[in-house]
Amino acid sequence: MIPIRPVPCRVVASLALAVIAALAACKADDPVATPDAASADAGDPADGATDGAPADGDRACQAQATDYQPRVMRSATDPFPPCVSDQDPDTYVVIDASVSTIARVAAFEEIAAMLFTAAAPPAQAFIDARILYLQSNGLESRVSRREDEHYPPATTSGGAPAACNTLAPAEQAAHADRCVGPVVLAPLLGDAFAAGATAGAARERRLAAARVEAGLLRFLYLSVFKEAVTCAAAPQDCDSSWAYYGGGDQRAGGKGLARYARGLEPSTHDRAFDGVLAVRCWRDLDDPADGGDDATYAPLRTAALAQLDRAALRAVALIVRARTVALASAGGDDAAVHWELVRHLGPTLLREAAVRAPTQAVALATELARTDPAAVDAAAIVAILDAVFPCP
Amino acid sequence: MLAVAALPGRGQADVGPDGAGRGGAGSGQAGGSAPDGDGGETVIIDDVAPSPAPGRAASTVSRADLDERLPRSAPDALRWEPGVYVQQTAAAQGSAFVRGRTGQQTLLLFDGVRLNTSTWRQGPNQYFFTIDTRTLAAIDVVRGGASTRWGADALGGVLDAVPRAPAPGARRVAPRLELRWGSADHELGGRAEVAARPWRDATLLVGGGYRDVSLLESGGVVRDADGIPALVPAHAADGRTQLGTGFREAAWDARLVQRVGDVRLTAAYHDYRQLDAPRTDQCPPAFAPLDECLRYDEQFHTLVYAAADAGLGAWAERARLVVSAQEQHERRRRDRPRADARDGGRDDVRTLGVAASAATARRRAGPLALRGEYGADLYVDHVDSVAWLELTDLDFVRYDSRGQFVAGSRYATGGGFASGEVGWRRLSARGGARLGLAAADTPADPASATQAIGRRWLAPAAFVGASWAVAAGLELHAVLDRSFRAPNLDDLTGRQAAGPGFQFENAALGPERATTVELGAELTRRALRAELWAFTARVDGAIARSLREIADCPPTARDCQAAWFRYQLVNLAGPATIRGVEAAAEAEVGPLAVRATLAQARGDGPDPSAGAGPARVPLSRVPPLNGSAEARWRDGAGRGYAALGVRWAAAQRRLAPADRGDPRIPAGGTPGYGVIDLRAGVRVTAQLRVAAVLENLLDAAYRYHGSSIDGPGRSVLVFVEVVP
Repeated sequence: MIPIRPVPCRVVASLALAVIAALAACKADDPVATPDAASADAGDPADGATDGAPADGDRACQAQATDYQPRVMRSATDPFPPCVSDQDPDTYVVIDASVSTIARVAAFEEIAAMLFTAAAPPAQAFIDARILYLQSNGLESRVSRREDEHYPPATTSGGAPAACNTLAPAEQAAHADRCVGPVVLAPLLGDAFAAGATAGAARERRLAAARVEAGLLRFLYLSVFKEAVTCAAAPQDCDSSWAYYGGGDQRAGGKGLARYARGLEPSTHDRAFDGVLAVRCWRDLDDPADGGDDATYAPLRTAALAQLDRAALRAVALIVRARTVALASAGGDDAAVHWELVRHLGPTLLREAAVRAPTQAVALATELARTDPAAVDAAAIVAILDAVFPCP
Repeated sequence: MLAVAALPGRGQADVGPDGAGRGGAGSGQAGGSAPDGDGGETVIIDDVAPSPAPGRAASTVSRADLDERLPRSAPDALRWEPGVYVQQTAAAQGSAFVRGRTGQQTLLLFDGVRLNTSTWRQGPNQYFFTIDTRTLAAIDVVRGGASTRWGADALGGVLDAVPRAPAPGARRVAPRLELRWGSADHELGGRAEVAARPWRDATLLVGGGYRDVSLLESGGVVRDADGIPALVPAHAADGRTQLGTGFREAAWDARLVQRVGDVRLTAAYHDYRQLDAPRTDQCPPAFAPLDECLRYDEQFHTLVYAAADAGLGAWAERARLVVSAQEQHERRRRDRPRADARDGGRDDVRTLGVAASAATARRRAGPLALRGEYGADLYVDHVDSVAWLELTDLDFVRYDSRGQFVAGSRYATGGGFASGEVGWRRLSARGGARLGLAAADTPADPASATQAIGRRWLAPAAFVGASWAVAAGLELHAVLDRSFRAPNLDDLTGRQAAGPGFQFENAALGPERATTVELGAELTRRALRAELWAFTARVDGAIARSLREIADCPPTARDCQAAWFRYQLVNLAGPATIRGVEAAAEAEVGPLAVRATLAQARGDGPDPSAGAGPARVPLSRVPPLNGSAEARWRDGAGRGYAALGVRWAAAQRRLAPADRGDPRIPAGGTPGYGVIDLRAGVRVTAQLRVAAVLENLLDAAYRYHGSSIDGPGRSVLVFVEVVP
């Protein structure tokens, strides 16, 4: 008699699964992973960020009468009534314990370590950096929707106000100043990441890295102001403004734009941090929990936004200035790299320059339009910046 | 099948000429009635299977209902059922809320085979949509906990899709063709099938269908109380056409029934393939560029099973053994064309199942009538999951260390049960218990800081109930049910975007236990049938989303840290409660019939985010007060019908904390609505039948609470059936 061995359950299960697999054919294949090239070495982002020892700034610069001054007798002498920011002039008091913007600025710092280095980053570094840039709810998600709140809202072809993300590309392009994220920054950054990843020459990779740096710095500046503006409707946006400026660090620290400002001119950093605190102070006084939108505090909000924006613009001007100075003393690829950053970040200043000094704004725009660094009048640019953006 | 004791007429079903039950593929109609002994009343017992839930709140969508209402999907077919409310996150998705619960907390069956897998997420899901209504004879709905009979997850209720049986009638081969077109979404599709008698004592049904569905046009933009449009969906320039809708689907099936003596053997294969189905609330997401889109490239469900039904004597008068294998396959991608990037993911769940049950014959013991049922079941899942990022301009692909789930995870759920019924004069009492076990095993993934899991839960469930036939045609019911749900792999290991937020795992979750008390009254007087149910369900350890801080995110989960909101599933610290009422009434006079339903549920529980807000908050996405009304005329000879239907819902302003950040819900809550449909159909000849629905006659802009899509605007659905 032939012994009958029980069929193991594993065999039955495997057969059943095989039947399913056969029946469930026609699925698309998973994509094949691309092998990494040599991994990117992290450089020192500070080396490429400041290009020089910090300066003290212009001692003639004084706070404006409408400014919030937490470092002067804890705001006792300024127009702002007592508020949450008075308690410690070095500390921003968050509205919400979790500030997701901090993660985006942390990604900026990681990208900086990969790309904003003195040496040419390897191509793989651009891919690694781009993956950071593309992470869900990461920098790209905000760049692609970023609007410049200095300009009036975009409108549909029918004339109705609309958020840029709801507009077709042609409509966005018609409002390029307002829709700066999708129209200017997103293409700039996307192209730069791709160019860096595919460029064979070190010079091209350095140029691409400069464009990434310029694009992201412009995004950070715009975001500091945008979040401060929209904080009127969404209080936690004040936290985002603070985080876009310093990555969630307090006055003594500073990531992102704050790191650049501190490195170039500590007084500008302090004034920018004062501006962040000013917005927070206004939000505290005009407490949404009490109904908010109190007209009594509208002048304070206007003053706080102006104070913050003035200092943040000064920080941008300092970066442009430092790279322009570096350009003047450099040659070859170094000059081209400095100019690449200047000509892509510099336009950030043109709107305000046109308000403050129209003639000089035109001259600055003319210089920034040049593509050949050898043709640039660096001294003229520095002079314009010093004249138009003298104080934070 | 559930075979719930149903109201007369409600359980009408197509019965094939071979008497194969209501699932017959033929077109005849009949109601099956059987005397019920003592009381002398006539009670319809639906089909031949034992009733697992007598005296419970239940209803049935019959084949005739499906033929007349022309639902777009299996979930859509439930919109007229009392106590069921259908949410849609996409045009190709639909999730039925039963007594305020959905997704993980309701159990879906196909011919009694468990469809719930261990990756079903918290909140609404799309899986009932993967049932092709064209293959169904009926959908049974049991409201309230039912874990004793059906196992874990049956907290809010059970939905059982009952397939059509092969019924060629007197012919050896009986082909059939149906075509369908809809104007709201330019749906165009059909199905061809053949019922046959391939050999002695065997019947076969083989069919296949296809549908192509385009963008769905609504009645307009749904706005919040301040007149501001909801954040999703995005609309085309006409303000009516909803972006992120449309899909394609193909489905095919085969069913062979072989009788061997008193044994009925069934072999069945059902395959559903859904393609290019955008998730509407993410296509585009709120605030994102218009061309950003999360899309299910593939949403497949394959089910194969073999069943044996037999009478094995008094102790197993109706015995059934089912062995099943199924695969749930999802492939999704989020396109970000302006960034030349695409996020991809694939999740596959393969499930092996075996279930055996038997019901005893009704026995007499003096004045008592006794009947029992018992059985056991086991379902085992195996999960594969990957996720990747593509840089489309560089042809570069990088995989994440893990997918939405952890590849190699396994999950098992099953148990044994026994129940009994005792009848004495006008009283009957029922009771039963289940001892179940659930097990979850997941490997660790150090790169993503995912810990290994090896969890086991005992899953006890029980119920008692009583019915009292107070008078002829009037019966009162009382039920106490204790049901169970163990956390599944989605709860324990899942990481996923949740609207603008991110949900991460909680490996320490405990089970949910629901205790339901329900009281019901059923009235049957000549042409009038009415029922009223009141229930209260207490859920201990209810699993809900809790807002979390960035510091709580897994250390390597950048998506979590950058998200607007961070959620983690938690067991609520105290009991959650859902209370409600459901009513249905119908009257039939000659060829005229009217029917109305009404349901209200109100749920609340402890605030899942400890220390924030009031002590108790509403449960998430509980439907508002809602109902329906229908008036129908049917030609006595079965040649035609005409009907008017109204669906309505009040506004839902009671929002859970997590609802307030959900772009699917307008600020302040979802407005109420009323929608009128007209239906008509005629059998032109013996070979040709035509039906149509004029939907949303007043072109209302409306939305089922919690949905991403708005209901179709004024439109028409046309159906043609040809039986050569």
